[in-house]
Amino acid sequence: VWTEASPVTRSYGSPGPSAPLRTGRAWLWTTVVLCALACAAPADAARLVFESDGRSATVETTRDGGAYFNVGDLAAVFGAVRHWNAQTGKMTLTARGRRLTLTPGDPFVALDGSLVNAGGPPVLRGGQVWVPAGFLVGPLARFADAEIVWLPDDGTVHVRHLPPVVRSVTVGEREDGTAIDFGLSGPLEFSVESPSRGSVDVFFSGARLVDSLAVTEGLGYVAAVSVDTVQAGVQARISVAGGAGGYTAVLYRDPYRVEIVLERGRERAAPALKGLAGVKPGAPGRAGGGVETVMIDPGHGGPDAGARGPAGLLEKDVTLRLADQLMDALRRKGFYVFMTRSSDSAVPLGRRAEIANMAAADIFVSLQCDAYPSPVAGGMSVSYYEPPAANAVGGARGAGLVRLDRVEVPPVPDALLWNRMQEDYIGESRALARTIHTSMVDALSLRDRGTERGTYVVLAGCAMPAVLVDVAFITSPAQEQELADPGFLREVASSIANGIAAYRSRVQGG
Amino acid sequence: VSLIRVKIVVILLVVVAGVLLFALRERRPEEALPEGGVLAEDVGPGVQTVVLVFGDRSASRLVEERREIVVPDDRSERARRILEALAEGPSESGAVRTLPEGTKVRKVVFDGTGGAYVDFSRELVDNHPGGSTGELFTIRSVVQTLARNFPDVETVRFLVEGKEIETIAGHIDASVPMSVEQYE
Repeated sequence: VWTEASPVTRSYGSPGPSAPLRTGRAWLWTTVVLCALACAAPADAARLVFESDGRSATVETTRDGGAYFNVGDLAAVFGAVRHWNAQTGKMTLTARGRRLTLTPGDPFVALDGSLVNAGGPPVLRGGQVWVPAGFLVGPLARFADAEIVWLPDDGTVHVRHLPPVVRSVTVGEREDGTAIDFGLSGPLEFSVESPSRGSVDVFFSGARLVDSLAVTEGLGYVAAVSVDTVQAGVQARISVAGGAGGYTAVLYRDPYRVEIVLERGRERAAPALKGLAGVKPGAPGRAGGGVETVMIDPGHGGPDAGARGPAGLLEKDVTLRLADQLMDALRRKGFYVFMTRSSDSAVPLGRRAEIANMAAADIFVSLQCDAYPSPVAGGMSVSYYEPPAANAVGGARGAGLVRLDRVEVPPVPDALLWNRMQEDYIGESRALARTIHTSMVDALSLRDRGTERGTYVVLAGCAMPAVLVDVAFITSPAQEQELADPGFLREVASSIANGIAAYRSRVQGG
Repeated sequence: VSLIRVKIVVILLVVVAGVLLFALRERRPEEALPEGGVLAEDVGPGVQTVVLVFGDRSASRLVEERREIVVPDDRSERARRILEALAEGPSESGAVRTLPEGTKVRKVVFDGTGGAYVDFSRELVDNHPGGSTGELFTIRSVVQTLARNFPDVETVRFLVEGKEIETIAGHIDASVPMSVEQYE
């Protein structure tokens, strides 16, 4: 958990409680008095030690009978976001989906919405909020899923974080199937397997249960869910009602949760998901320097059929068939393979990148058919991401509203963080595109349209090398025939897989 | 006397209508211009030579077509008429339409700092035949047509029924203004 914490930084003032001090003259005087008090009692510091890894940090303290700890420092150490509400005079800390609200002078705090003893009222001093030791060992420990001990004699705070808790289990119906959501207190390793078509087992390694959790009422494809503590963790068994075609399992952060989706649709053996255990620390694919996991993205799906061939072939069907072939080819080469969709379902573009990021995939390959309003156009190409031109985002163009009759067009925000993820990987994506392109050119007798760059939405959010393969033009009658041929798709899949394997060798220096 | 006046007015109306009809019919397609072809001659209201930018049949390059159309004085309305002509498709056989059938151009707005906003009808998205290349040529054709006829345009933002869109056909980011250089 603690590796998530942001580095310890001192940020006095914003977003501390300086805002309310501007709200009235009384506050101004209070400030003056408090500043005087603060100056009279010089600040001290306590050392905070994490027993799990020996890491330590410094927290500023002040004396007022007993020791009081600076909330800004504590928030930084525990990786929490602080928010000061000037209207209500409350400070809220949020981290890993949990929420702790405290009010200077109030002996109670709200933890995830319920009122608990603060262990002594927080105080406002020198424009900062300070909390007593009782706050650390009480609500803060619960907020951080840790045991906290304060040793006043040597001025240290000892933190021992507890194993993650499986906090909740909820079942809900979704467009693409039935979702079972396991709420977690932090990141952990998990594995999923389906011993029979009638059940899916999820094992949370090293986790613990606070209360017994069970869902016995059936909903959708779920007949029942039971959750029990076993020797080395927590075991959940999902009893599956008939009709489910497969499942996907993804670990999300903020808050941490594992979502299992039992999908309707094609009657196929559930794919093994053992490789999808936990989120690797740091940039995916960089931790071990390896290229192991490939996320295949079959373009379009559901109501979005993509392009249509003159004989009626649908792009969404071609991309899914090709994805199945590519999955087989890559597995034979020892890759873990996942797909953003494994049935004829609609998946929004941003979500496809999100799925790849959550699975910590090392490579993202979006499969597409090209199309053009002329039967003459044809050929294949491999594309990688290029950000929108500098004059298209930010700057003067983003400054104001433009009125179109009654419609107000909002200004263009600076590209969101999420949208910029791919920018760090463009060089690698270009290398991957070239390797796949070379392999396809060698193996296939399609007209070569080269490697291209573009502001592809599906690639923009991918935090890994990502490419988009346009296999052939479905609008060309000849190429439509080829795309309908499983033998051709197998050749395409094999050439893409060879390209990905060549990229792996290059990265791993093999 | 009043009868003569009425006759004169009627004759004048017929003449004006005739001239307008003739001008509208007079579409003279020409072969694609060489690289860096001539900018549209801005002759103000009345008949103007405009440049429409389409795709070629093999989806390898843009082709330009010059037409003489009747355009109004108002700059926004002039741009709208030019894009409506673009939406009708090319008249020469070497070029391919880039806007889906039935697409209407509802409004064009210039923000005065190089930004153009084009509001299309639903058909732009609903009838789009798809494909990264098809989508790319739709964007390039609109952006370059505006840039050819209004040299001060630097970016073009696509809207559908007054709202911003994520993409036209599921690939290229259409939520940001399209730069004239990027979509050359």
